[in-house]
Amino acid sequence: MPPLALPWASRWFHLSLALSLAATLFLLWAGVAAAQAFPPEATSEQGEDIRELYLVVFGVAAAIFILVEAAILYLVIRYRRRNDELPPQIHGNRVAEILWTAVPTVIVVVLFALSYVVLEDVESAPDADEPVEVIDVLGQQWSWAFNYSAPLNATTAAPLSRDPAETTLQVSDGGAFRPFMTVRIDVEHLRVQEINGDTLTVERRVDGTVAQEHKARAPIDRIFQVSDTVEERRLEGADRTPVVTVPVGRTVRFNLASQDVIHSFYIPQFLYKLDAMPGRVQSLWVKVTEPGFYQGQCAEFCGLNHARMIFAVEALALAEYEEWLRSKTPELGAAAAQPAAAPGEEPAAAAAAGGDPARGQQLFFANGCNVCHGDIGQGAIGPTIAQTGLSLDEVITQYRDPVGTTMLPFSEGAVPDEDVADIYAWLQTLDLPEEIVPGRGTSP
Amino acid sequence: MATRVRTARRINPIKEFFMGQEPMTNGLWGVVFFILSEIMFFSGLIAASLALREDTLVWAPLFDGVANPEAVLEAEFQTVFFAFVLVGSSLPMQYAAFAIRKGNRRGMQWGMAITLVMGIAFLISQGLEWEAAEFGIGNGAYGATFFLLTGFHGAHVLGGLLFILVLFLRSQVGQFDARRNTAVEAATIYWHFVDVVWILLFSLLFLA
Amino acid sequence: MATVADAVPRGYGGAAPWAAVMSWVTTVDHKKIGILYVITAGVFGVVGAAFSLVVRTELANRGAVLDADTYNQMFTMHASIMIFLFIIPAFVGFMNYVVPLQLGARDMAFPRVNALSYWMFLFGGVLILSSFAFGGSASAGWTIYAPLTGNTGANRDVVGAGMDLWLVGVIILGAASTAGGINFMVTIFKMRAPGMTMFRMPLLGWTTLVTAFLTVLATPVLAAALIMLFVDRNGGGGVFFDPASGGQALLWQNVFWFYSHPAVYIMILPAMGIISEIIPVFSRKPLFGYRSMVLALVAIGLLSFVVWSHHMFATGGVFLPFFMASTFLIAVPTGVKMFNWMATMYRGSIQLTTAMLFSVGFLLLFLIGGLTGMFSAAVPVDFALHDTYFVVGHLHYVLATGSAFGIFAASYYWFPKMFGRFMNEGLGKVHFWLMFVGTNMIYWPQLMLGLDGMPRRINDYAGNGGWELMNLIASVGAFIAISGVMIFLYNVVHSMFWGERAGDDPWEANTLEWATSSPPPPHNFDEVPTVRSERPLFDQRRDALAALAAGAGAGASEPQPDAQREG
Ligand code: HEA
Ligand code: HEA
Ligand code: HEC
Ligand code: CUA
Ligand SMILES: [Cu+2]
Repeated sequence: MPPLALPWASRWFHLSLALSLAATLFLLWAGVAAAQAFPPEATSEQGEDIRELYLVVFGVAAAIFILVEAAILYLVIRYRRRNDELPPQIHGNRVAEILWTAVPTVIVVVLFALSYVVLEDVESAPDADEPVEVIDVLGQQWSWAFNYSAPLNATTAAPLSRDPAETTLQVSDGGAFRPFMTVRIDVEHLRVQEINGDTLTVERRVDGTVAQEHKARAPIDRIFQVSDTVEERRLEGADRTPVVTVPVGRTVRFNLASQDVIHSFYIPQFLYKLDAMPGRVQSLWVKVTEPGFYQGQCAEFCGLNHARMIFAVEALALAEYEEWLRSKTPELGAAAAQPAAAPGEEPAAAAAAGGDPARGQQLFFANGCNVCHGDIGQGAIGPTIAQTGLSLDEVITQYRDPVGTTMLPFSEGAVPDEDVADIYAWLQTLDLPEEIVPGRGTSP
Repeated sequence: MATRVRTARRINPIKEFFMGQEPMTNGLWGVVFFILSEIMFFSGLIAASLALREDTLVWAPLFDGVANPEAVLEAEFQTVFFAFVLVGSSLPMQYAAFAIRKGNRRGMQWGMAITLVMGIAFLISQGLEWEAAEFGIGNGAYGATFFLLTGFHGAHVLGGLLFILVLFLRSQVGQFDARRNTAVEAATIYWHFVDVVWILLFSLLFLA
Repeated sequence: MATVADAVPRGYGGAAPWAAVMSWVTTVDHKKIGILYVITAGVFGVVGAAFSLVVRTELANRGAVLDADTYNQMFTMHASIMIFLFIIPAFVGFMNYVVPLQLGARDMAFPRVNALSYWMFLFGGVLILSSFAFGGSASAGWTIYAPLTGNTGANRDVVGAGMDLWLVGVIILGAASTAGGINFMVTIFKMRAPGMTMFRMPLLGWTTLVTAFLTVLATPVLAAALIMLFVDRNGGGGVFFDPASGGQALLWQNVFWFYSHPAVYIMILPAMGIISEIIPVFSRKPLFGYRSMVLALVAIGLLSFVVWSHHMFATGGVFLPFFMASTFLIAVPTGVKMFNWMATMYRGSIQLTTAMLFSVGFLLLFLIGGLTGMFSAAVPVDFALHDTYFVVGHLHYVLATGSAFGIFAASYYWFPKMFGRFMNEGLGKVHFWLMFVGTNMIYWPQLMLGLDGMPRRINDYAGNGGWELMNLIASVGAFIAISGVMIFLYNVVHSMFWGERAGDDPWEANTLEWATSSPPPPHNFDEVPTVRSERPLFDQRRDALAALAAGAGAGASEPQPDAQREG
């Protein structure tokens, strides 16, 4: 039996003992000293629930961890080889085996039950008459855009209907439709035809070209895009972090959508995330409990600059929030009114350029330009482009091969030159109202 | 559970029918497990196709983003007829297996020859079907799943035919007899599998 | 028993060097193929580990070393190599070598298919790595989520030949594993030695069987998925997975995880089988609860097909309660295995050889991996933890300190059988402790970073989050662990030629592979011992002892057969 005869057997044993102790101590130190064995303090109601569940799971896991690790170490130390005798040959023990099948079963059933309760809680909508703030979140490579709609109460905030039999699109949550959603619905064979005040006309191109009208149920009183960013140089290259402002103490419904690939809307301090999927819109309820400035980040790998796809949440006390909303109001009024007015006027200059501004307007929304450049080209993530001083050719160049990395290129196939000409024509018709302070006057 | 050293075993009639050999040889087991993996492969494709279909308003090829129900393939006479040809070719193939079990090599060769002819006829019909289709693999989920499913099935038919052809040639030089015929049994099982898959795909693509 | 002289390679290494090389290239011997598998996987493993050092270097320096694209390629290829080219084939190698021997078989059921599988694996692996010569590798993570990988739009996609090479390479690897799985299934069902019933088969045989079933059932679905993605990228225009063209983004995740969740068990079950061989031998006891071990194994296998959506909890497209329940349930059979291993050590006579150390290390650290899996199984908690470093920590605790520890344990344990020589135990222990300390330094901070909200797959992170320290610790840990691996590699090469000679059965083991010479002759056994229990060699020793006692009346220092229960 050569191995047993090896001289260092017992020396190694002592060393192992010392080292496993050291390792355990190290783990303990790491866990306790850094105090990061727990997620951050939650600052939303849902997050608090999740954190509580985390603590329960942590407690159970920690107990199992300590018991089992200690038992393994004990066994290894206690039953190390001392002599050459053959130990009792135990093949099994029915009682023990049943016991350690049954106990874990009970534990996981309990864990399941608790998790289920919390899940119900976290995912459930607020009471019907509770006021709700609706914010649309659009993820795109590699930035976020936020869109505000009229405040709703929970009942009207019905999810998007995907029922093919439905003739009207329930794009709107009782107040306003949000253009980018229409764009996404486009993939289900619907094309935006006209945007006119509170009416959205869409065309269903399933079996022919039956145009259908969709009327928003209430006039659009508020729909705008936040253009707030913070100059918080967290990351090289991501110097303008988009900020979404939310109220404290009022439930916010984030409607998540994506322009391109899958992203994930993640705010660590809410202990919550949900993917922003292309081709569908899904919602997330959050009721913030603490005012503050929280950092968020895209959590689903989305290509080259996934690491830079950050944002921030500014939670304001309700009064301050209302104040902030009011400060935005002129902007929104104009933004909503503008598209309605636009098709009417057709300046000669644009007509001369050969473009069709009415069509351009639709294309502007259909291609999602509004998401970055604002509904009337006033600028948000991208610069102001209403009445751009660039020539058509320059705009086409920007289209095909954009400056910077934020704006995505549109290929010839996706948006042909004629379409750009139409958009260009519409951009020339835009007359920015005085009150609007363009999101950012210049390119970054 | 304990399967002791095998001395006398009861004959399983189903295995007896399909595999002929008790206990089954390694080769036959291999084919059975291979078919298991093939079933999973087709299940993957079919499940994807069903999922896409479930989520689409009109299940038809897309042309420039517009669905055109006109282009949907219907079960026409040719398709139905050759589906029966393919499925029917299981009979001569099984006959071949039966024949060689009795040591009748001639009979086996006839069975194989008929199977080969029927299989090739099916492939040709399938080729014509592809020719005639107004859509391609790029025309929406309908087009893509249609070509992927029929394409992979066609490739399996082709593989089976080559397999049978090789066996046929081997039998020409005097191989296979009543005792050594594992490869023939294997080819037969595989051929049945290819036919059954077509029943499924046919219902899915042309009837449902 | 054969003498030491017999143990020198029989049939290994011919006269002329060229003939020796050819004997390896053309071999259909499961033992040679097994060794080829392990060595090739080891080489790929070194590449994967090197990439992980690049990843760690970048993260220790907050994105100052590489550009994002290179980083993305590095972590993608790190994971792809580790999973598809290191862990899975290394296990296949050991199973290839050991299982037929343990069954008392002459070879695998289909030796030529076996060789074909190996060469396909090598080809697929080289194909995937060759992407660096064609403008860069795949860079979308090992999960290659569509539509990012769909190549249907401008700028936004993972374009380039690397991704296509990856797809084709993995399809080939999948075909190789499927063929291998079928081979193992038939071998196990049909080629056991006389008297070896299914329930007298060594546990590694059982794990191999369940692993083979998972492979054969799940891998073809991956092949279907990869083919669809390939079509999407090449001519299909995204009809399968890109919503902009009528496809479904979630469809990819469903088909991918339908394979990849079973795949994580394909990567852990063989390790569990290896541990189940090693722990009894070095505790000098039979495996505790053999039947419940087998049942647990089968239960894990079955459950692994109904939990895949736990990777998609945060997508909003999953029926959460069902997948939460099935995921939680998997802890039960896994726990049964843990406790049975512990009970095997209970009242044993434990000898801490390096193989046993790695097995104990497996128990200690896999537990952490399993328990962190429980956190993710609780759906609301996963809302917080999904796609953070917590998951990265989880997957490394199960894979690197689970599966990879299993591979190391297997290396030390079967090395004497493969080459007739021991690996150096002293170096082995240094290797173990460097790995043990190093890996914990990498993965424990990862868990904490994840809790603090650090997303995975980022090459850069904010300087004000307090994440630098933890990342630094992890990076230092990586270098410590890899230094352990280097000692291991040195040990392997050194011991192959200059190691202490081992006899046929150096560990006093119980299973049939130790009943033949080390290394075994090409035909494996001159005579296969009869099998009357799951420990034929134990029976043999006991019988010899009894004969001795009956004859001379004294057998002092030899192991005493126990009276109470017999195999
Ligand atoms: C070897 C591979 C392996 C193994 C064995 C496991 C085992 C488990 N995994 Fe893991 N997992 C991965 C590899 C593996 N995983 C990988 C690679 C990923 C990431 C993929 C990616 O996105 O890149 C992942 C991700 C992953 C997720 C998704 C996380 C996310 O992305 O959000 C989840 C969620 O539920 C999960 C759960 C589990 C569970 C419950 C187990 C269970 O099997 C664990 C069971 C074991 C125990 C629980 C310990 C022992 C039991 C006891 C001592 C009994 C008593 C215990 C209790 C009663 C709790 N895993
Ligand atoms: C088996 C799988 C495996 C193994 C062993 C490892 C080992 C390591 N991993 Fe990896 N890793 C993954 C699988 C694995 N990883 C996966 C699946 C991901 C997810 C990727 C994704 O997001 O897509 C990941 C991601 C990942 C990340 C996150 C990247 C990101 O999200 O941005 C990091 C970061 O530190 C990391 C680090 C390391 C380190 C430092 C090691 C090691 O260096 C640890 C030390 C080394 C070893 C444990 C063994 C090395 C073995 C050999 C050299 C061969 C020996 C030879 C024989 C046995 C013959 N890994
Ligand atoms: C992802 C957000 C985004 C989208 C969507 C987007 N852009 Fe831009 N765009 C930008 C950014 C950012 C710039 C500034 C370029 C830079 O310097 O980085 C820009 C620049 C431009 C410019 C040049 C402006 C100047 O003065 O330099 C034009 C013109 C323009 N975009 C038109 C469009 C049109 C038309 C669309 C819709 C089809 C569109 N963009 C869609 C982000 C976007
Ligand atoms: Cu968007 Cu990651
Ligand atoms: Cu999983």
